Amino acid sequence: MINISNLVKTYRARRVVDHLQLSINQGEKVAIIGPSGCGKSTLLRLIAGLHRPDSGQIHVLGQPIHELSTADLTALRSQIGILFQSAALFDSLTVYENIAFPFDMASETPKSIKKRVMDLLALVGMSEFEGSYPHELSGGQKKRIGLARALALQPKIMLYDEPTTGLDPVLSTSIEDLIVHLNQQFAVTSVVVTHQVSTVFRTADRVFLMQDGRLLPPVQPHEIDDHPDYRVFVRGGL
Amino acid sequence: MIRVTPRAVLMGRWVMRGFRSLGYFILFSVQVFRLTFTTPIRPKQVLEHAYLLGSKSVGITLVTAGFVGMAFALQVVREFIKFGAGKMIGGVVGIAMWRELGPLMTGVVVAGRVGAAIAAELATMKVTEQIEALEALGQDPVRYLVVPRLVAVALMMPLLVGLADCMGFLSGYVIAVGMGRINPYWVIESANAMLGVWDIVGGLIKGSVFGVLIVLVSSHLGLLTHSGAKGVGDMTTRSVVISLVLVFILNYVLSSLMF
Repeated sequence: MINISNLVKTYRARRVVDHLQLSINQGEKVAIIGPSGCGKSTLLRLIAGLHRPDSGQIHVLGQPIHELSTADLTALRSQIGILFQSAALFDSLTVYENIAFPFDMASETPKSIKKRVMDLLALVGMSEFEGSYPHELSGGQKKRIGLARALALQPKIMLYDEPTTGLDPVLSTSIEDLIVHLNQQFAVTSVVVTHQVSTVFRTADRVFLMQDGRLLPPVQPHEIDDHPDYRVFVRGGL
Repeated sequence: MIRVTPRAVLMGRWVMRGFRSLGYFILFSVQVFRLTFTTPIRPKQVLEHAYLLGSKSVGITLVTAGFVGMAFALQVVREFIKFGAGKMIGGVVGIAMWRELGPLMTGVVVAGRVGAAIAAELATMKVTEQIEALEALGQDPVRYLVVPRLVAVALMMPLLVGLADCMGFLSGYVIAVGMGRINPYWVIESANAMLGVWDIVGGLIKGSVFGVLIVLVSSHLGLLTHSGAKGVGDMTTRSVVISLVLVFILNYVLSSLMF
């Protein structure tokens, strides 16, 4: 489903991703952890085709995303959902309009759009907020709406960029539950980038630690304490 | 061997950066024009922007043009009366307004109001990941955000310039008749005699060109923004400054070519 080999990305002479290898199968739940600024979010954007790699190969759903034309990339992106760290809701649009945006761009009928938006709002438990603007929502509510919008086009892969960062434990748990629910109900492959330990344990089958632009061999969440590098990061050096 | 001073190196880098920025701007402009003429335009989006960017600029455009027309007429009336050329005031004010002051003042107003608004909005969208969200949803940000604004401003500018021209001339008329005691007949008659259709049409075309340039500059800089709130402020300021300078330069070039 996602195959990455020898991926390199450099920003202003700083190599953020350095000959990285990664393979993720269909329906898997993968977490990528690592300290802030280690390149996790960049990796997510490279997988989504939002950034172009300097070298290396990224195959997503069998397509070489690193060499696709803009038109082909646009078509492929409809199968990849991404929840941004800030939720990235369009602040001039209401919650309803944000979720309706992908349908509107696809020129669906207003009746069909209404039904699909309301279904998605119900899925993320935000039905009563359809008329609100993003600035009227809390961080957790924004993430739920961002998630609903990302799911609008029924993606096969969901990429989550720090989905629970900055949220209180209750909200974090609800977002984590949603991630697991989506994976189970719709068989969506999920890649969660985070540095929240609770999120790793609740949302991942396999965990990768990113260090110096590369991923260490993966472990299962319950094996974290058996591997020194993972233990140092997760347990804070204990 | 030629010894290169640090100052020369700095200047070289500055020049290279300038050319690189110009190159990026030209590529961006080509992309915008290509998309404008090759992809379907959503009328609803264009109308929304025409209202937000155009209609809401009418008030400030009229006030600016009114006072510029009055100030210009005030100076001209005094001098022309001294030399016994009071009968020509209407034509002179008309030509000045339609060819130069109307389009130029509207360009200045639009660069300050509309250009700043576009740059700030797009820059904010860039630093809050909204541009990336658009791309992730399969939309080309240039097509979705820039093209409708370009079309809206290109359509609204001639209307704004036309209003500014009329307001400026009317203000000049009031000063000429009220303060200069010029016969209203001569004000209108001299404008009739001296103003040609091309003076009016040329001014409207200039306005459209200014509008397109302002949208291109402010959109380009807005979409280049990074580094948070400071970046938004910097790019908004740069967008207004560069747009204003380019409007004045382009005004001279177009005037020398058209009239």
